[in-house]
Amino acid sequence: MTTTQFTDRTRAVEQKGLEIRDVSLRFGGVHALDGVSFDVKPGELLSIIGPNGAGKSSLLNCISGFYRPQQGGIYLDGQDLTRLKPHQIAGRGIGRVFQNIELFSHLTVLENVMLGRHHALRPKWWADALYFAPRQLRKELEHRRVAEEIIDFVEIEKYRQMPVGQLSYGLQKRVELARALAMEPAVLLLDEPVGGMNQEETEDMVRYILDVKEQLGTTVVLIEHHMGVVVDISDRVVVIDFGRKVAEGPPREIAQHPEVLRVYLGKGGDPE
Amino acid sequence: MSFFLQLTISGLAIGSVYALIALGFVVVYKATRVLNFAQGDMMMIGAFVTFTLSSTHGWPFFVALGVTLVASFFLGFVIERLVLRPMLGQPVFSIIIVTIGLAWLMRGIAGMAFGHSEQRITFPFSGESVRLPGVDVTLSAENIATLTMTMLTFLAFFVFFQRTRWGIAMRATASNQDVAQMMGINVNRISALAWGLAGVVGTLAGVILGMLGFLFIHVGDTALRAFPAAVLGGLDATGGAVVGGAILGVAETLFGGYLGGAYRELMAWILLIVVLLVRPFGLFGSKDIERV
Repeated sequence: MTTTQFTDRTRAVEQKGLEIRDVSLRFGGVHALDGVSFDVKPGELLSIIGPNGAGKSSLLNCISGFYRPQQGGIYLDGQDLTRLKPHQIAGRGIGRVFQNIELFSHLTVLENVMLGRHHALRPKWWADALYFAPRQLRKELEHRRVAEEIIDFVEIEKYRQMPVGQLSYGLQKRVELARALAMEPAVLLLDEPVGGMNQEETEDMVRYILDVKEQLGTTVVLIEHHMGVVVDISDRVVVIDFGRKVAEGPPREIAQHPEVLRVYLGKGGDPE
Repeated sequence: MSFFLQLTISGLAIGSVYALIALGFVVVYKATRVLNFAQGDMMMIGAFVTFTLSSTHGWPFFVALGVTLVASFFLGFVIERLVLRPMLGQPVFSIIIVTIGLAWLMRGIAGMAFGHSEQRITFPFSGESVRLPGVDVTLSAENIATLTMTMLTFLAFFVFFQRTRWGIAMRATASNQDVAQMMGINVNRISALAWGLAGVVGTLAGVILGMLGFLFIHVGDTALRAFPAAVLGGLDATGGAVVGGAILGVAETLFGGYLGGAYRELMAWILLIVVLLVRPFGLFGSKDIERV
């Protein structure tokens, strides 16, 4: 693989964790999140599980800045993200892959990937006035080269000039992953990355997620309903039910946790 | 035959003004989903500023135009910042009403600043014309300038939307605002940029109308006649604005030429109604598909 430069570069970035402190989010009288606290350690893969409507995606939306929790804080490197706007949070190194495919379907694969690099990594908009100056051009070429490396990383190089709307579901998910990686995030949020995938696509995606964690050293927060995947790849698991954290621990333990069996898998059910 | 060609050419010239105004509607609508009823009055202000600089202060025409274009970008930018930004998150309906208020406000200010009489912007090559060999058709300097300016503008916009990172960011924001933010795109800045660009194309359209002798504080109403052009092409399609404008301009002029002036005005609205009945999202607009 030709990803050495990309992976080396990212490994040089200091690994970062997230601290989620006593986060509460209400919509009117509904408590979507109720005093949730946990840490995501630098470089780990943490899964959040729980039944539908438990508040998992709401929590990701708080981290991304789409929702502002009424109480509590979310810290990256000691800085409270809940005070920032979504585009600023993205610029601080939080990447995200959405639950439903949210690509810009009229843009090509390459344009989708470049978008992440251009904006999150180039905050100086006035520098664009000098777009054609040699230094800008060199930077642009550098961005382009890394974008190509990332496209190689998730093995979609064949499709890079195609509008993403024409690609299959599994490929579109990979483009989304590539687009998030292009921002060289310190923390990657994945919302059901293998939802709706067949066995083969699931295995591919799991392999890419592990590569991201191990080769790039990126901290990963994963929401997933596929228990097999969660148990196989997570370092730790947090269980959320009705907006509260009900359990936290290593995946094998969590799979046997009585509270988890009750709220998530049904009473006394088999985890598989 | 030559009467037909002559009408078609003046139709295209008028059509390109419609296309420019329609482009102003489209740019703002794409980025913010707001119908900007102040587009016509932004156009009027731009035209009056160019007129004042060139005719009253004696600046060379192209210098006056250049300065006004830059100023109108900032006017659009400032309007977005002061008037539209505070309305963020309000129902689209309220925001549209605000743009109507803005239109009348600008019209009032223009009346005080520039007076209520009709003016004409003198184009440096005015009075000259080119006779096309073979066919009996005359192209006036204004016709040529109009068509050239419009084509250059649309070319520039095309390159901007297809090639530059801000253009691509605008398309991304138009397609999904939340995800655009997650890509680090500052959507507020995108909407300010859209208003700035709307100011620029507005001024161009206004100056062209001024060259043709239509410069008075109510010229903004013409923008409403360009509205069918925007809808015809599809409110969210940049290329649609060109085609919509051209069709509208030519249809109008042909109808007027053959049937008499009274039919001219009707044509725009007949076209609008027919298109909305057959293709409610316009010729090139995107059909809304809701995925559940």
